[in-house]
Amino acid sequence: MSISEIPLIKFENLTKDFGQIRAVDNFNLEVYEGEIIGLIGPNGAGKTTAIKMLANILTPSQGRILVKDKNNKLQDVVTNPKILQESGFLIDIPNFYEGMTAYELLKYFAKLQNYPKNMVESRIDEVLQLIELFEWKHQKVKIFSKGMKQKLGLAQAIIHDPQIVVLDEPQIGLDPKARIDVRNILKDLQKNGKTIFLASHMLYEISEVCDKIALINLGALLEFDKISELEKKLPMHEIRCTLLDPIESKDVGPILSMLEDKLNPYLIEASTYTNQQHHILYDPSIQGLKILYDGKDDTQDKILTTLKKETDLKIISFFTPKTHQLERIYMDLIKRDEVKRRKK
Amino acid sequence: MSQTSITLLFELKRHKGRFYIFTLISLFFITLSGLIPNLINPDLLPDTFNDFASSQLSFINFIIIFASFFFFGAIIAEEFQYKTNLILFPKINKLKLIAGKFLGNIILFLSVLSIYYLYYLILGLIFFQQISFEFFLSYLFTLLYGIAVSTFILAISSFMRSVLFSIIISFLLLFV
Repeated sequence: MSISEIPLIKFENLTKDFGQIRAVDNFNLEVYEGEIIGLIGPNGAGKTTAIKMLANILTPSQGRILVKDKNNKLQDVVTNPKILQESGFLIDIPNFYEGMTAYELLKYFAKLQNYPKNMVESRIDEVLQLIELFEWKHQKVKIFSKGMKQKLGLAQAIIHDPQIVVLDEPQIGLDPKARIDVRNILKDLQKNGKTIFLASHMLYEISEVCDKIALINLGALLEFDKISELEKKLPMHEIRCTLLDPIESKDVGPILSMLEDKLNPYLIEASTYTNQQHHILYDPSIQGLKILYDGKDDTQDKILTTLKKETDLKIISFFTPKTHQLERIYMDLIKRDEVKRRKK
Repeated sequence: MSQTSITLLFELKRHKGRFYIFTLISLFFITLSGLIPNLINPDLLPDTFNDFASSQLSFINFIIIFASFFFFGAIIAEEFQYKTNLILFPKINKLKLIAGKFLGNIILFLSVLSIYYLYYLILGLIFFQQISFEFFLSYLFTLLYGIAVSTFILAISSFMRSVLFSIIISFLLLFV
């Protein structure tokens, strides 16, 4: 096996029980160097529990987590916790000793992680500038907002320049600008060769930064692949079609019926997968149509051609929304898993 | 530098406020009860330094109990209550963290007690121009008692997940 074939993190049959409840169920996953992996799943799916086991805060009931060391050998985090010195963690909503300043806390964390003493000061400045808290360097954390604490949480995870960065809901509580900032920070970290393992509910953020998605439900891994590959497994796809002129409310019904007739060969039974009763919806807020189709490769072209040739609608854009792609993958896989479990 | 000593130094910085408060309370009490009355009316002074010290040192029990609640009651419980453990435990061995925190706090706590005794020692030299061996023995026993109480409170703190409960339970066990 070549070095690049050895995963940086390997979850091996990982299981965690809390009494009668199985929080993580035989979880297997491999993360390779330089990847950004997104861990998604509903509340209580086991995301934070898996991350806490990776951080060696919880001990697995069965299985193990292995991390690659400098000699390219996989080490168990429980028997060899020192392997985690090359990792940075942000778990849950972070809390700090509130009477201390951002500088004092980061200095303490950097020293704990053996960051070279002569470089600590410059590293603190660098990280505080990166997260845009440099002006707050000598302010006590008790006056920080929730979003600022979240940013400081990210700072403490990367203060020692770790190879692996593990983040649990890093964008929770952040305003849109801060979310974009965090997204850019993650992309920068990846450019610098870092490996990032990210759990989040924010599907759009995940879809923007992650190379692969691991979807878990009730502790079990349902799928692990690139978004584009997961999308292929979906039976239903959505196209959005923005129109130059709005459709008047009195015309919406007849136009939609006409479109359903013309596009019928390409549409699917929407109610099977969503709460919607129709294949085509008009959304005045986007001044456009939402069309649920069969997802076949050539169908998009056929729908667009039909709309152009056989209707009077003036189309200004025709696209598949990325956010909704991942949302639909998420909902579809969770729904299928629940049906499977009910049958059992 | 080891993780324990890094944590020790961090704790010294973090709890210096508590140190100042208890030191000020001690100095204020001694000034009120041991210095001012005897300066105003020197006839109130006992005949010997030992009599003076034994009449004045009773307040040290109050300082030991209350200071130890504040310094040690939260050492472990606060990590769980405020979830700071989630930040710290991936970075540091739990035992090293507790050792560093305990040592940092015990240094501050024993310093408060030492300043209390030092003030009486100065008063003894001012009013009696002498001090006694018993005074030093009393100081030594006070330090030992302080360490015993703080260790007891630390042990209680380790069972609790709430700082308030930890302090209440320690208080009840010590006084009931």
